[in-house]
Amino acid sequence: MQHEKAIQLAHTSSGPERVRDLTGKWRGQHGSVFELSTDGNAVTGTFTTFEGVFRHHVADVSGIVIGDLVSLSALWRISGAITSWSGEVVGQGEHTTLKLIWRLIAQMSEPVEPKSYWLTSFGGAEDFTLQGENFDPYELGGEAGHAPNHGPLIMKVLRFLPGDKVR
Amino acid sequence: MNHAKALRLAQDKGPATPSFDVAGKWRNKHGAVLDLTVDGSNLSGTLHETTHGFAHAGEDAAAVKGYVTGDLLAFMVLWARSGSITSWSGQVLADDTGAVKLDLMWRLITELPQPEEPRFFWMSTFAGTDDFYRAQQG
Repeated sequence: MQHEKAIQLAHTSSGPERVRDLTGKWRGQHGSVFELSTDGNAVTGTFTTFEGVFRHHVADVSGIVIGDLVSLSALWRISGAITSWSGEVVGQGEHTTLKLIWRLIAQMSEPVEPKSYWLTSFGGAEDFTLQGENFDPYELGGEAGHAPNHGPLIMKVLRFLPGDKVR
Repeated sequence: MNHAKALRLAQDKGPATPSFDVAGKWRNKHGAVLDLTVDGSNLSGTLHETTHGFAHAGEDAAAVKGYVTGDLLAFMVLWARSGSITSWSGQVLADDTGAVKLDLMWRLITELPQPEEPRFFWMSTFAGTDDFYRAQQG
């Protein structure tokens, strides 16, 4: 589809009357957690994984919110990958959920890139539920992620690499 | 797909490719101009869209913010007039002629009036691809 056409279709709507406050902790279906703050339309925060070798790996998040719509992006410095999420906030109160589609783009070494370019992009969908003020994902231990922790050694290595933080 | 698994696969791809400086002006075949500024891994700038020929035609300029790493980039734009957001992500590539381009996928999400949302939620997302080439100087 042509983006200019999409913008015109979008312009037929009157636009939102309010902006959702996304401030808080949002837990994904696989245990990952967004911790977000909003300032007008700007969103900042972190995304923490709680699964596999990237358990407790933290990436900075930047984004936009308008009305119920949300777009977020995280830079994974250690692997040179970027994840983009976009979607919508639905529900109210303890049932407030971020329904997001994500796309992760990954680096690939130059010699294999032309024939393997299709391998550089991954996609999926995930819902994130707003948690209470006292929610601490680290207290959940193994329950926060659905996979065993493979990586105490890897995590030690990650601590010495620049970029993403590891808690 | 599980995002953690994708992240693991991304890690297995090997080290990041050398950085490509995406700063400057890029233009797509429809005349949109993307003017990017790079500060470390942070991407900012403006996107100027021309939509002449369509209903509600006009011009829109909006701020860009995002990330760049190696030859990958992702950025987003808020279209305040309609309350919409477009996010792009993709890679710097050379086309068949050797010309450098930004090979991007985009997704535009837009607000629907609440009464229509349950029935027309599928209409709130548009998607496509776009190539941006270095804009000619002058």
